[in-house]
Amino acid sequence: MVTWIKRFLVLFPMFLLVLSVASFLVVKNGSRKRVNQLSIGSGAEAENLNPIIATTTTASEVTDLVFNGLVKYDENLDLTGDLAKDWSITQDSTIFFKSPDLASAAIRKLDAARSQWAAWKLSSAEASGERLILHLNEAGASIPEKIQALFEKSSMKMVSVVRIDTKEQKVSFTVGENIAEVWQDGTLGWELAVIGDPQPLLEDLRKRFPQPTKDSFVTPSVVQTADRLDEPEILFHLRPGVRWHDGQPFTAGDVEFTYRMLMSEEIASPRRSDYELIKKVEVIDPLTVKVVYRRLFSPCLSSWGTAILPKHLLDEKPSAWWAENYNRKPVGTGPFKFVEWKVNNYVRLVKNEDYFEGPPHLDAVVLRTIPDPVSIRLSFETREIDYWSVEPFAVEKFKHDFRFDVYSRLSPSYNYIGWNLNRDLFEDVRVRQALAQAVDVQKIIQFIYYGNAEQSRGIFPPMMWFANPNIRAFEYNPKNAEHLLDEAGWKKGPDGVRAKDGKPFAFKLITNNNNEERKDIATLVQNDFKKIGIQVDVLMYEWAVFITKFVNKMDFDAVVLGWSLGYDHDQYQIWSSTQAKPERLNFVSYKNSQVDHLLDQARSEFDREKIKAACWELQKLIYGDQPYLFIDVPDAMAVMWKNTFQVRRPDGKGGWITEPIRETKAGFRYYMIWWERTDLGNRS
Amino acid sequence: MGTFIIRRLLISLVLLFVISVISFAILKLTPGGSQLWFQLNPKISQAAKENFIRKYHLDRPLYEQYYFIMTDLFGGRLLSSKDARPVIGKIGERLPATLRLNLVALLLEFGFGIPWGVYAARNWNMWKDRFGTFWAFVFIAMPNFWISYVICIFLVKYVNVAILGTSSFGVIYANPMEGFLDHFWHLLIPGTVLAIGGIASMSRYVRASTLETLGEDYIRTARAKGLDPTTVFYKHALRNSLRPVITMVGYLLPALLGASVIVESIFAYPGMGRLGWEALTERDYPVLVTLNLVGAVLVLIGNLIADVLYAVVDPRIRLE
Amino acid sequence: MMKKDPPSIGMRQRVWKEFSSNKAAVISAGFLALLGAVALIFFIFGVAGIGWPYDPTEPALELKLMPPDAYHWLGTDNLGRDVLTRLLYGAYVSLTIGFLAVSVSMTIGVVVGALAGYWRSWIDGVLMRTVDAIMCFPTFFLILTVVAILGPSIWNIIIVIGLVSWTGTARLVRAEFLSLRENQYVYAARALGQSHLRMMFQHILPNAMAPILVTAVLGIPDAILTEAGLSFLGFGVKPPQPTWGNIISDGKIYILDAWWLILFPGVAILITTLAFYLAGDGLRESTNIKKTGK
Repeated sequence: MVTWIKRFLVLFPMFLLVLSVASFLVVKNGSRKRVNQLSIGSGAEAENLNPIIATTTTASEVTDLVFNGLVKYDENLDLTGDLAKDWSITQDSTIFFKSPDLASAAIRKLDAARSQWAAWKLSSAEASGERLILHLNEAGASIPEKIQALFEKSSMKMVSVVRIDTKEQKVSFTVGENIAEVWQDGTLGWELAVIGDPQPLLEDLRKRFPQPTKDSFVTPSVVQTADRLDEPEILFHLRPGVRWHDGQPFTAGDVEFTYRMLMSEEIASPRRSDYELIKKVEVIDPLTVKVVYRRLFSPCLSSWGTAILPKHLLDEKPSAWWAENYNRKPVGTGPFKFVEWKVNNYVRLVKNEDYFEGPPHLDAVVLRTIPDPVSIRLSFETREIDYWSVEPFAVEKFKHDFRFDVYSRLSPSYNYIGWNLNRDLFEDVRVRQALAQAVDVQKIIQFIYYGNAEQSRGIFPPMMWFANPNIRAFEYNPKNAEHLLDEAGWKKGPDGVRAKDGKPFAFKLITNNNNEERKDIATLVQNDFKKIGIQVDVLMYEWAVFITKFVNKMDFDAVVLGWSLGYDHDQYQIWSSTQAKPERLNFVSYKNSQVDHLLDQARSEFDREKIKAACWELQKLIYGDQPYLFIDVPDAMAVMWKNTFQVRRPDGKGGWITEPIRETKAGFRYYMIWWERTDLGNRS
Repeated sequence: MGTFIIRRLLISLVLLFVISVISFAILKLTPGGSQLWFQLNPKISQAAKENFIRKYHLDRPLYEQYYFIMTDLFGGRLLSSKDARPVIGKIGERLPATLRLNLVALLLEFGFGIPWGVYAARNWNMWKDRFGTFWAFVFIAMPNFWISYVICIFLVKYVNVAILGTSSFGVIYANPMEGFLDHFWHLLIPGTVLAIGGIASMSRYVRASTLETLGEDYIRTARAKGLDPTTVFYKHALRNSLRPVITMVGYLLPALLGASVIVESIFAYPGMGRLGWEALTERDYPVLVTLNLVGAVLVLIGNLIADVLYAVVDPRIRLE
Repeated sequence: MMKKDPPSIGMRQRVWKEFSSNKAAVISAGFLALLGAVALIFFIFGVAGIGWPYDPTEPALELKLMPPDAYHWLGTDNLGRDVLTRLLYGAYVSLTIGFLAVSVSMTIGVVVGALAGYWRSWIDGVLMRTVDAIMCFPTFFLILTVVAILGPSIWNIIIVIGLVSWTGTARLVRAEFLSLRENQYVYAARALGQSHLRMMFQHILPNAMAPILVTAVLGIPDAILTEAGLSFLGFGVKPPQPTWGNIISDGKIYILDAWWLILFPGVAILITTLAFYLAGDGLRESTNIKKTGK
């Protein structure tokens, strides 16, 4: 007994020690070889892998490899075909005349001018009762204008969009003589296209939805008036011979099904608002599908970059089934097939031998979750992951180390300080411009971003084709700032703090915790403002609290935040005055009727030059108004070990191009499916 | 003893109810709501938000929400508000990894803590004991995120071995034994960090308990009778002083499922702590309430087992 | 009026003799006294705005992430602030949190434990079941959740740590009361018509003081470590106020290139908590002579 206990007390720890040493030796020197796979490190984990529900970038890293959309952005950020071979965008415009006779007269007039049709982009026209329907070869608000100019203005009826803000799910209207269309819009309400004088209907509606109540906050009103109803449509020709990962063929039915899922109440897709203006999706034949829109919405084509789902696997499945099944085990058409998801650990994909552009070179792609920023860098240094999105200060070290390649480009995002324009402090545009000149943005870029950022000059990041290159950024000029503040009535008191009517210029600047850059920006800005006599209190809250308690309730003085934008130009939800409500994105309450008009215009034109004109003006107006203090557009950066990968991609003529990985406008990973490991011979 | 156990079980049930109400109330007081995934996303429509709120009964009064959560939980239907997956499943898929890690940590605590404590007691008040005491407190005083980083950086930067996750990545081993040892290594390092304070506490506990036994009359008598001191120590003293240690088996239960957010995050280990942390930051009430309740159940059962074991190994104690 | 019962003067002298023979404990106590003085001085500096070569909060970006040198003994942080200065100005936060959190938990623990141990019966039952219930919660999560509710500030952190850590004390005090209330002098005092309150806090409590004091001293480092953990997770005191925990949490992403940002504050926490443990252990050994086998 004595020796038994004694021995055990010695032998058991010895055993543990031996096991530890053995495992150490194996990890350090074991006989192993590198696998032909790409490991990507990520700080966060995907919430699910269903491309129409997931919202995180981590999820899209996976779903981008597993799925295809109808269209995609090419390396220069222009749209190109993916599952769609090609497409055409046309438009039906309906003009309402005061009588059927006038409509027939109009069509006779058009028939007489047939030689002009090509110039008018008109392919055909028809009359139906009071309506004259024009089928146009191109979409855009300005296309039918020339044709409409042929007719007497007094012979036509206007079309008004009437909006009812209500939470009611079922509202009954009869589409007929005076109502052309009814649709529910994602921002909680119904919209009606009313032909002719909207007043009688409005009065009727105001009786039905009398006062702002719990369920309806705004009385019905006309939000838009137009000369006609414009309905663009897209005809997609699909790529033949594409197969899902389970071998079934991909067809137009899948596109129609995906649209239904995007709109489904039960699925509640966060991308729904992009598809709400769709009137119908029509399958013409297995490889042709037509999408008709209710209104002009120029980002409509890019919205079809959304992943297409397999109808044969998902149709008729109850919503509860999705969560445990498809959302975690996606099946797509993409270059990689999903294999397994080890929670909080990794997602593994293997190559799709049957991919329509040919199989990728890599056997597998693994996305690893490593939440700690230090650990993720350590795992890169032991070559356990091949790249991750590196922070600015760390990139500095890698840039100067010849063993690494650093990739960096401007990201489609920007950081800003949003002023709550409902607060008296920030009412005066002079004050906001003064604040913009009081912050040393260059210093922020130099010391917080280590030069890996650019001063932001408004709402569009500079690499977008619609961004205005002619805007001059506010320069750091505290003298001018002080001058402007004096002018606006904020005089320095004896304690050095500015005040007006006895009220000191002091406010709370809030942001979320766990974001180093925002914290540092807040600290620096606090210090810059102190110098010109403005007292700032910096507070940081957990993300959940920050958003729901302050931002969504519009209950804050100023926030440090950033926007991550897509590649399309529509920023209606951030800047439209209709969105200056709690829980919407215009939480700074920016209201400018000119901006509202331009936002509409940018949505309703399809021509690049016209979109550009509207966007340039938008950016100029908003930058001048300074509802935000635009800080910087940061770089998206990544590091890789040298000589680990190269690109070998088809040149489109049956041959191959071999080149090193390079940065493109769409990121250095643009050709990821053609990456090839070049270090497989090496022992790890 | 039977009535004791039954009474304890009944009291535990009442306690569990109170705990579930309190934890639900505390969580509900937290600002932030559970609709996080759609916050500040320009593409999410208001209708989708409303849908979500209805689906998780977030528009209902609190007591109804509590009722829904509890009935769903015991019906096994409770869904996470983050990804609509069953909560039981989410906990279940992390269970094996958590068990493995905590088992290794417990082995280290017992394997090193007990011998250390015994050694310290044998050398009581000599420099070896004082030295040991000093280091025991150093171990306890070390913030575990700090020691995690120190170990991480040392092993990766200077020894250049992989330590994160559950196994080395991007490589395959020819020999399955090597694969096993690789996995063990990935448990050992976070396990050591988790156990480091525990080893020291355990050694203090064993030391104190042994010293107490050594002061008992029967040991003095045995010594006075002229028995060999080593025999007295190992046979008489140690057996009795390790008794309270055996009862710690009861506390193993909650410890096995124990969680550390910080260590799991730093070592990228897929355990229960990260589930709780994610649930907290995302306001995933169903998961949080379940985790709290599971934790409480384990503590209560563990305590019960400890009490019963205590009575079993120590005939002087009677449960009433 | 009755005289206070033991501890007698002789007892105190014995405790002191025992304690002073434990070198580690004495050195620790000395260190803690020094640290307390430093913390107080810098707290006064901070409040009165008395100069010191470096400002603990003002960024000096040109000096960011400088390794330790003759000017910045412990280097500078990511905004160019002197780490030593920040450590010194932050000392009082850690100590305040430690002391006040323990005061809160001791107050609650002693009151609850005394009531339960003195009255027994159903009061004991209810109070102890409450203790059981609180012990069932995962403490750290409870703290995180509550800090998320109340918002992070020194006072909230103190209250929360205090509110979740009193259960051990309550059990200890209850046990002491249960045994002490059976003593002769208690019966005697009761017979003389002393009020219950007086009985509890004037006669019984002083005799239970030694273990309570030990628990208190050992509770301080736990509170300091908890605050550091909270800061590490981003729930610490708001910037630019330096605390040991948030110097580490601010610096953690830089540690691969700037080791001094985590090494020095970590060592500061380690040494301080160690000193508390050693001093507390010395105190326990010297007040608990019979259990050390003598």
